[in-house]
Amino acid sequence: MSRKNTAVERVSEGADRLGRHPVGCPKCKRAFLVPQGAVGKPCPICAEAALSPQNVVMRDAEPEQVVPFGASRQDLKPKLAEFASVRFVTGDLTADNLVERAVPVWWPVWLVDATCEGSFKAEVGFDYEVKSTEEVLDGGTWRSREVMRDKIRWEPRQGAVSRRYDNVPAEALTEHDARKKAIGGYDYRKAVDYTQDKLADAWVQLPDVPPDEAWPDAEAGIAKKVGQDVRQAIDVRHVRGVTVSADYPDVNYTWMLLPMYASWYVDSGGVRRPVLFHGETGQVYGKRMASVTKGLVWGAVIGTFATGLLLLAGFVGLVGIVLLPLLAVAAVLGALSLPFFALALWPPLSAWSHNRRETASP
Amino acid sequence: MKTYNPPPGWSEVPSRLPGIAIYAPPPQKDDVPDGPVSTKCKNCGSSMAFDPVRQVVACGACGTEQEKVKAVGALAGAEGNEFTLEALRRGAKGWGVERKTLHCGQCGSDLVVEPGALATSCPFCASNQVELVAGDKDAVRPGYVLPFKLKSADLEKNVKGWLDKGWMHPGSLKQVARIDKFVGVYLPYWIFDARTRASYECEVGTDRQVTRRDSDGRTHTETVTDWEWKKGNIDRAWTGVKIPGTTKLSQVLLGRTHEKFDTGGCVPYDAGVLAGFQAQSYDLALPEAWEKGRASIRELAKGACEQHAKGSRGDHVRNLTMNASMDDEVWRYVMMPVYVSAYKFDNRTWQVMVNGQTGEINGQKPVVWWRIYALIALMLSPAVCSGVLGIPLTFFAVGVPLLVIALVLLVFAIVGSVYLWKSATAAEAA
Repeated sequence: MSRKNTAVERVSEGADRLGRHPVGCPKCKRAFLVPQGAVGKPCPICAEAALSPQNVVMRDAEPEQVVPFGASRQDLKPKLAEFASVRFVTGDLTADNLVERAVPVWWPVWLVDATCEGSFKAEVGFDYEVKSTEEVLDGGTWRSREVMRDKIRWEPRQGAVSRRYDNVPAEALTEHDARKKAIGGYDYRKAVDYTQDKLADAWVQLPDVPPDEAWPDAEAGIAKKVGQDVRQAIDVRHVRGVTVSADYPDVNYTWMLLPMYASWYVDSGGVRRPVLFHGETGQVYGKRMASVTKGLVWGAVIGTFATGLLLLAGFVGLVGIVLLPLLAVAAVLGALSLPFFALALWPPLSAWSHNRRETASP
Repeated sequence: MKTYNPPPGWSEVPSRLPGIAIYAPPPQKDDVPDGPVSTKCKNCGSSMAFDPVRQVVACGACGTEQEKVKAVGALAGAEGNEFTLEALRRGAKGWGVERKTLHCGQCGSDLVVEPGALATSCPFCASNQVELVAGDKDAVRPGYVLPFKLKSADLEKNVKGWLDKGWMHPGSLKQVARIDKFVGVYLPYWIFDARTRASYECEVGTDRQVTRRDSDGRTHTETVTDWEWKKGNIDRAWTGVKIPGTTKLSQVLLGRTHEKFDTGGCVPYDAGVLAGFQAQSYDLALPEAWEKGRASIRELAKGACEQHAKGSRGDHVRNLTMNASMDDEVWRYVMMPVYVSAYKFDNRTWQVMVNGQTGEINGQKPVVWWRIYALIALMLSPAVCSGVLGIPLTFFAVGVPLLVIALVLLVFAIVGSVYLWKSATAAEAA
């Protein structure tokens, strides 16, 4: 899905209402509303380019709800320290750096209100017992043991639904699922009504999925809720095969903001790497790059030591021409140097293979 | 709320949430009518009867036919009943047709007969001692009926031929035996299906031939069995295990008769199919019948385990232990068509049963026992004579071979005599 917000049509008055400036990332084309002073800072999501002022397409309406931040930047430090604990870690990847550069970012979800007018079909199951037996043949005689087995008798049910469903979440970003997978889901029950002060100094990422494109996701969410309600209404222990066929005559969209932090570090190749963390749980997502240079340095140190051993073995060997017993010592030193030569390859190879794995991971 | 039209007959049931209306189908009603159902012709008012040849319920007077009954195809796939506590406890639902029960004071049979069709004699014992008792209202209603395919009129010739057959029966049987009438009776049967999941352990013996040389240097070939322990699991479904629901009739004759029933011809219970015939209610209740059915099924499972253990190479099985868990047990109460009659010969009553679907005849026939004894004596006589001759001749060279011949003849005579005795006993068995 293309990012609709890159097709700039007009400056929304909503940006001013939120007290923010519309900016965009020239690299990833994401659009944000940021406080004064954030213009020119790296994009919080891709971290590859600086945010520059631009017009954005957005709804004028203010958000309806927000899920508040549950953790401060400082609270996240232990998790970030754990995140940064990589062998031959890039020097810039430290918990302190990540905390210092972290900016709070709200990301959007559509909230859909709709009336469901339709019908449903389901099967309900009633428990009953049947008498059965276990038969045992031993020593040529049969013994029977009576057992009761639980079974379910299924009956069809049909009916009509006419219910209002408010604030059903639907994705407002093309990367919605990927981001939830990366930093984890949110407990929407913690959402509170929006007031401007709740935005604080946080940046706001703008939707790139327009409402009409978000409808299939919203419809699936509503259908799921209808199914849950049908199960509750039927009030029978076993319900299966609930299918709903409905119309939604009056659909209304508002939006909700979800909290996260965005930070970045520079890897050994000079590339800025983004790191995102969940605003409630602190779950961290990002590529943890090792420093191949650091690996090479360590490799050089071990290699030098191995070379030293080999040279010493050569010298002792020369002396051994005169003092024959020293030839044996020279041989031992020479043999000892070989594993160190092999070990010298490990640091750069380890850093390189770690980076390969990180780059390949989603 | 938009107008919602539930399927016809469905009614609204309570819902725990506002805005959700729930509809349920009507509860399964037993299609047993509250009162008697008339089998009278709607056209002319005459009695209607099931025509076995055309397989329709038809009026004998004006020829009006009801819709042709449709066979279920395979009874195993047709709807059955589970062993719920309710099913086991449940009483009868009545017959759905106005019928009366005749109780025979001599043999104890209960016959449900149509009003006005009062039998003059009991078809099972040819007794006239019948009395009218109330029908058993607690009897479970049949689920299926296997309709008659033969008319009683078609039976006379075949039965005469059957009576005339066999040298061990009286020659006058065909002339003296008087079979007044074959009564078409639907007999009650319980038919069971079940799945058994069995795990077993046993010793399987495989025979092999071994040639040995004795101390005299002669070779003997012996069969040696090698035994080995085997374990296994078998999951198998068993269908159509038939247990007669009546204990009043000869179980031997019933057993021979019901083997040939093709239950694929069964039709869902329809009172009309019974019109023109008698029907016997069951006296072996479902729990007792299931005891018997279960015993048959577990023996089938045992046989399957033995076969499985033997595989393609085993010859014997011993020390079999098995655990079989029964599941998916289903019972069906089915009425099977049998023509029953009895005849008197030599002051005794003899039963005859004809499979109402296939026409196969099974029955008791008197045996002229002196012929059996004479034949046995005839078979034994060569052996006895050889023995009697052989004993004194043992003083001479020919004695021993004669005794050997006598022994061989005796073995043949005993085998023949036992076979003959069994056949004669079976012919009279009831």
